[in-house]
Amino acid sequence: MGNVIGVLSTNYTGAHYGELIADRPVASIPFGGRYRLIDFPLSSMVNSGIDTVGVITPSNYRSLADHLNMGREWGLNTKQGGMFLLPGAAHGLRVPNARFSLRDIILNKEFFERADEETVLICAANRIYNMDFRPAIAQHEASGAEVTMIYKVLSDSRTGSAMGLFLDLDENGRVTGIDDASVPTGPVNMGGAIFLDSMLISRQLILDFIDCYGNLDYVDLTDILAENLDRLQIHSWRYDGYEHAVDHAQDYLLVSQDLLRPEIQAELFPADRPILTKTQDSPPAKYLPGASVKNSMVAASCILAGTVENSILFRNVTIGEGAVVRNCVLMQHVEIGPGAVVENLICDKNVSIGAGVKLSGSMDKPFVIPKRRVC
Amino acid sequence: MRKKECIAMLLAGGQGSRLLALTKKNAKPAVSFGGKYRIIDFSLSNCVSSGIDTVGVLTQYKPLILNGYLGNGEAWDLNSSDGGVHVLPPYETENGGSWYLGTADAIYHNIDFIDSYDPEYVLILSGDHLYMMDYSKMLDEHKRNEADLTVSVMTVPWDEASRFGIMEADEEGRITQFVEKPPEPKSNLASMGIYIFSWPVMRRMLLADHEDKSSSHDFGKNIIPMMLAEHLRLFVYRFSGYWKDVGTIDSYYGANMELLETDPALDLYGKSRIYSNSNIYPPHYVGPAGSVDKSIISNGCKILGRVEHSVLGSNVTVGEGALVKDSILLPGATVEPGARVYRAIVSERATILSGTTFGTEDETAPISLLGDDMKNA
Repeated sequence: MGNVIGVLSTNYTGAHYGELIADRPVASIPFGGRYRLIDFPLSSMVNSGIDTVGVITPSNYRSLADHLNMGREWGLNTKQGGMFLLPGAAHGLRVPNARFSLRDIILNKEFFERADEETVLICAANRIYNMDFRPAIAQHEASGAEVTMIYKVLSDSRTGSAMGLFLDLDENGRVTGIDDASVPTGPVNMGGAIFLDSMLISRQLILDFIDCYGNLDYVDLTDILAENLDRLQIHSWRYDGYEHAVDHAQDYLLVSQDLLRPEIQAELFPADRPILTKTQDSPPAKYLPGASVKNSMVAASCILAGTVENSILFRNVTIGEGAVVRNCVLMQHVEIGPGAVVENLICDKNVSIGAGVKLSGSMDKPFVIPKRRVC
Repeated sequence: MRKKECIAMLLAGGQGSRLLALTKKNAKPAVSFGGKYRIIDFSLSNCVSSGIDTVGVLTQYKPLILNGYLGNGEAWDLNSSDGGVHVLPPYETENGGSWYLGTADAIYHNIDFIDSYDPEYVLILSGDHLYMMDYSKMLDEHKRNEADLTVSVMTVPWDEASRFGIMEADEEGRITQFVEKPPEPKSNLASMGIYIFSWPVMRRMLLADHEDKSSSHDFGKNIIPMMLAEHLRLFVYRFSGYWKDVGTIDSYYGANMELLETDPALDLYGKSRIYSNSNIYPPHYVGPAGSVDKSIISNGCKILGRVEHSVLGSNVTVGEGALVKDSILLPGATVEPGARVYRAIVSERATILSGTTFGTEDETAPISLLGDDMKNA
């Protein structure tokens, strides 16, 4: 897409994630057996023809930079365009939960100045989807809007406290209000238009914002939009495909288990628009005598000798003989000892569960075991 | 070009005609193996693990899939600006052109390529062997012996020795005799087709061999005997790990099935990685009614039926109620619902139609084979 550059805004966090973000940014939370959260918006951008992507990074970006590998797997290690790491602002003691902090954009003003493209597609990295942005881009360009905010109609009440913003829309799809929904206000706003933390915005408008708001300390792009609903042409584009936010551990387990539904697999992983990720050249998974696996996703180089049900296994997980794993997400290098029984667990990387140990959380309150813990 | 101590020349032009349908559209080095690999991954990965960063790949027979697979060598870290993978097909000159007539002839025609790196040593490899080997140890021994040629050998059972090129060596490992497939072998040291030559000597041998119109331009048949006749310094390098030339359907099938053992001789899960150029697929999925026993399953597979004692390549689908037993399904194969597959090799993107049976459980019957993109029946 010649006239659009992508920006992934990842310099934010949220207390809700708990142990999952103990030493990684939200964007690099592992997901779906081999991916990280950022793979979904990033691959969607690349599959929509965007060949220049800036990634605004948080200060603890080690795992992110390692994973992105300067865009190699996304075909973004090119001479023209490509991937640019854009260091985000230091937030000090503030809890940085603003998804599109203007401070981050100001710090990287040059990236926005240098581009020739008229439009910036800016997305956060906390949502699972495989979106074809091309229809949204086409609508944005045809409508002459300065901003097109991407939303979906909320039809699913699984998340107790839907984070993010709801949009008020007029009959023409123009945005007339932006409401913060992270302050719980009773029942979830079913049928409401929830903003998917992604928007198309005129590059010139971003440069104007930098000039006009540069002196304000910390302000979010969406706050600026909310102030200027009358003055700006802010339109909306409705996405109807599969999407789910990952905003805390409970979402994490639920959305992970969505992947076990074939219709969702088909939407997230179509052959012509793959979700790309860093490859590690692991050998295939191996089933030893005694393995019994039902309704689960199993990544390469897992070695299985026990029972696994309704679970997601990342690379290199070992399940000992007679062990039972139900409703779990086991990240890379997790080892479940022989005869251990685990249910409703999220085990971070390199966790080791000893032989015969029994551990369980519940679907409502999954038990998160942090990296490298031995139980 | 910067000078290199040692570069590798990988012979990847062979047809492998005994692999039948597996090599109908595809050179043997590019045949799928072990789920997600192609056979050439093993020698390329060995090169990188041994510190060799420049590899000439000599292609000839049906190179389309092989060329596409090699790409710029990035998958094996062989895309460096100073070295990396070079695909070397036969070419035309002002005096005409010809196909590569033999292994030595293929190298002869690429003397300019080798000269451009001005190497001390040239490692000759075959792209169709399965093994993990650190060539740097072999090179160390070659240097220690001040050898002109070092041949990697392994001991084979005496009753199989007549199938190989057999070396006789003295106590220091110096080769005294070489016989190609001797009816009555006097030694069980078999050549693995892996050679390290000192380049100046090799260069001279190649030029002499090229002039000999009666030569079949083969390392085993011509170059080694010529070097022995000149009393040059030829040594064996003894290798004791897993090594297999999967030349036939039976040996190809057997090598895959061995991977299903709990501790197979070819350990893909150990420290040394075999790299491959694979598409990025999601982890495999086993459905609520699916089941898998004693098998190897690659990314992208969808298993809604039953899989027993089989090797599944990337992106294979096994439909509901289907059964796959003692079989190899290559990448992209589909077994439709209710179909049965026994003791079979189903090649890339091939389909076993719904409700049909392919292959037989009869262990005396030959392995059933369905070619790339084919449908049974």
